[in-house]
Amino acid sequence: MITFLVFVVFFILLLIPFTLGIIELIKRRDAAPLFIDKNYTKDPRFFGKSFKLIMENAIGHDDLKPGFKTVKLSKDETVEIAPYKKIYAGEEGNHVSYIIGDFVSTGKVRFKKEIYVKGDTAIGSENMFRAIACMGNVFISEKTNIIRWVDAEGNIDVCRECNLGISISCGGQLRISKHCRFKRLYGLPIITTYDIPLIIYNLHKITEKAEDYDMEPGGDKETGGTADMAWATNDKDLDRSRQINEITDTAWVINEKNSVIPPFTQIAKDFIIKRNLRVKRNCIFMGDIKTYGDLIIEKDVKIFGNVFSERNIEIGHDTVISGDVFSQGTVNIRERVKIGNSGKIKSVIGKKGIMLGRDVKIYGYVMTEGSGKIV
Amino acid sequence: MELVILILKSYLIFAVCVLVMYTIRHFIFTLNRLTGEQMIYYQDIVDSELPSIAVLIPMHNEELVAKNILDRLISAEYPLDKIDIIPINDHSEDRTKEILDEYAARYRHIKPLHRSSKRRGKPAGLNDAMRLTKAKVIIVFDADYLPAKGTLRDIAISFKDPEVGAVMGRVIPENTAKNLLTRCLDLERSGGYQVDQQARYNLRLLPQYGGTVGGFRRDVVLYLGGFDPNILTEDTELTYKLFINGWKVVYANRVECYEEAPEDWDVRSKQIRRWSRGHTQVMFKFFLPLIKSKHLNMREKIDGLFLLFVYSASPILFTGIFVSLTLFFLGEMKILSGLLMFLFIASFNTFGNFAPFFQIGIAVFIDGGVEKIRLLPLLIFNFFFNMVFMSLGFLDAIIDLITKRKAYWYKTVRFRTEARKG
Repeated sequence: MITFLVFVVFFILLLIPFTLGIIELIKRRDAAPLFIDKNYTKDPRFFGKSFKLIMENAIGHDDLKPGFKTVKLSKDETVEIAPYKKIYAGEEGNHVSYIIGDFVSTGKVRFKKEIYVKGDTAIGSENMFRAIACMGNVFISEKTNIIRWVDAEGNIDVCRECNLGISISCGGQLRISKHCRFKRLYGLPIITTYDIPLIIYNLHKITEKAEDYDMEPGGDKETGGTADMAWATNDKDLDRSRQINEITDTAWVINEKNSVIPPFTQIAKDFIIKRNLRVKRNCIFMGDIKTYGDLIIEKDVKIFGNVFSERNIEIGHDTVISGDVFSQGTVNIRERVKIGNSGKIKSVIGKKGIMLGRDVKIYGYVMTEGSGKIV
Repeated sequence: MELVILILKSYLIFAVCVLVMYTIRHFIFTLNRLTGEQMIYYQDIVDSELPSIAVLIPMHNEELVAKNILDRLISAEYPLDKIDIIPINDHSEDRTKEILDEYAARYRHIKPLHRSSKRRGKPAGLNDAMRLTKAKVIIVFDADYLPAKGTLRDIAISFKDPEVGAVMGRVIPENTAKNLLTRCLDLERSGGYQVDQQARYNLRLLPQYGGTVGGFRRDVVLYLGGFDPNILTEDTELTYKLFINGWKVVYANRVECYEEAPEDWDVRSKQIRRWSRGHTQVMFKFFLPLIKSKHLNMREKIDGLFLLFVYSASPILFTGIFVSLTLFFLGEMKILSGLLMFLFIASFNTFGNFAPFFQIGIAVFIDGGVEKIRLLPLLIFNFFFNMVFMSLGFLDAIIDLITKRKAYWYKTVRFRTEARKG
C-alpha cells in the first residue's frame, strides 16, 4: 500500500510541471502565430500618408461643411472641419482638425490632437503639436516641440531649437536650422542651415512662399553642378566587379588598431578593414568602404560607393558621398558635406546618434535610434 | 572489465564537458539578447538604387502551396525591371508544372525552370537556376513560405554592405495552433531566431544562412563552386563557404516570413534527420578549412566549431545516457568525488539543463508571448524526440562518409488546406 502511495505521489509530482502547459495546449489562449504585417513596406513618409488616407476615407468624400463631426478613426473622434484656421497664443486644440485651406498658429499654442491641412501650414514659436499631415508647405518656428510627426507633400522649413519628434518628412525640400533635435528626417533634399528667418503669420504670405525658399546662393558651390555630372558619368564604375581587399599597400599601417590612407589616394575597389581607419583629405574611392573600427574621413574626400562602419563615422567638411552611410555607432557629419544626388534617394543611418553640421545636403533619409542633432 | 569501466567513465566525463560548453554558449547568447547591445540590420536604409534580384523557389510536388507564394511574390514591392522569379519545378509529378506555366503566361518576370532529367534535389536545382539569370542577388524561398510585400527589398538592401555574402531572415510558423508538435516548433523557432541568431549577429560570430527567407550574391556563390549536390543542407554549406572565404552572413530579425511547420511527427522526424545528416556532412567537409581559414578570428572559429558540431551533441548525449545507465547498474557511478564536484553537478543540474529552455523562454518573452511560455516544460518531449532523430542523421552521415553513397533529397510533406492559404 505504501509503495503504491509513493508511486502515486511520484507521478503527481512528475506531472505538476506539465500541468500549465497541458491547460494551455487544450485552451489555446496564446496559440496564434506571431503577427506579420504582410503589406508592410519601408516608407519614410508612412505616418503622413496613412493618416491622410484615414482622414480622406473618413471625411474626404462627405460634404465638407465647417463644424464638428464625430467619425471613426482608430476610435471615435470629434473632428473639427474648417475652411482655414488661425490659432492665437495661449489657445489649445483638443480636437482632430481637418483644415481645407491654410493653417496658422502664433506663439505658445498647444495642440493635443492630429491636424490634417490641405493647404499650407505655418507654426509659431514655442508651440507644441502632436502630428501634422499637410498637403502643401510647412513652416515651423523656433523652439517648437513636435510630439509625434510632421509630413508635408511640399517643402518644410524648420527654425532653430525645435524638437522634431519621431519623424519629419516631406516630398520636397526639408530645411532644418541649428540645434534642432530629431529621430528621422526625409526630404529631397534635406538641408541643414544656420537659421531661417521668421515669416509673418499671414495667410497670404504662406501660400506664396513656395517660390521664396532660399535656395543655396550659387547652387552647390563646393561640388557644384560638375560633381553631379561627374557622378553621372561614373555610373559604369559603380557597376564594377566587386573585389574585397583586406588592407592594401595604399594604407599606412600605424599600429594594430589604426590605419591611415594618405591624401590624394585613389582607390578603385571596395575597401574593407578590420580596424580604425582615417582617410586623409582629397582621397577618391570608386567603391564602397567598410570598417570594423572608427572611420574618420577628412575634408574634400569623394566616395562613389557606400560607407559602412561597425563603430562611429566622422565625415569631414566638403566631402561628397554618392551612396548610403550606415553606422552601428554614431555618425558625425561636418559642414558642407553632400550625400546622394538629385533624383536618387540615399540614407544616413547612425544607430546611436547623428550630428549634422551646417549646410549639409542629404538626398533622402536620415535615421537614428539615439539622438539626432543639428549642430 | 576495469578497462571497459575506465573507458565508460572517461566517455561520461567527455559528454558532460561537451554539454557544459554548449550550456555556457546558450547562457551567453541568452544574456546577450536580454541585456547586451543589439546590432541593427540594414532594413532602415532607403535607397532608390536596388540590386537586380532573382527569386528562386525550389518545388517538388508543390501544387498545394505553389499559387500562394507566387501570388505573394507578384504583389511584392520591388522594381519590375530588376526582378526575375524562377520557380524550380524539380521532377514534380502533380500539377506544379501546369500551375507554373499558367503564371508564366500571365507574368513576364516569372520564368519557371522545369527539371526532369538531371539529379533531383534543392542544391542541384539552385545550381541550374543560378545559371539562368544574371541577377546580382539570389533570394530563396521554400514553396510553403508567404513573404510580405517588403521582404524582397529588406533582404536585397543588405548587399549594399560590401562584406555581406548572404543574409538570413526570420522564419515564423503560421500553423502554430494545430497540435503539440507545431506549438513546440513555434517555441523552438523563437529560441533559434529571436535569441540564437540575433545574439550571434550581435557578437559578430557566425549567424547561419538558413536556405529560405534569405539571399546571397550570385557571382560569389558561383565563384565558390555553387552548391554540392551531395550535401543535404546547402544552407549550412554556404554559410561555411562564405565565412571561410572572407564573406559575412548577416541576420535580419525584422525580416519575418511565415512558413508551414510539420504537423506530423513522422514528417518532422524525417526533416530533422535530414538536417542532422546534412549538417554532419558539412562538418566533415569544413572542419579543417574552418580551422585554417585566414579570414576568421579566434572567436569566430570557436563559434564556427560549436555550430559545426551542434548536431553531434545529440549522439554524444544519447550515448552518454546509456553509458551512465550502464555504469549505474554496474555500481560504478563514483567517477569523481569531492565537495567541488558535488557543487558542480548540483549547479549544472539546476542551471545547466535549464539553459536551452531559458533561451527559448527569453525569446518568447521578447516576442511578447504571455500564455505560450507555459508550454516550455512540454518541450522535453520534443527534446528527446529530436535527440533520437538527430543521432540517426549523424549515423547516416558517417555511413555516407564511409561508403561514399549518394544522399537523396527528402521533401517535407505539406499540410496546407484551402482554408489556410496565405
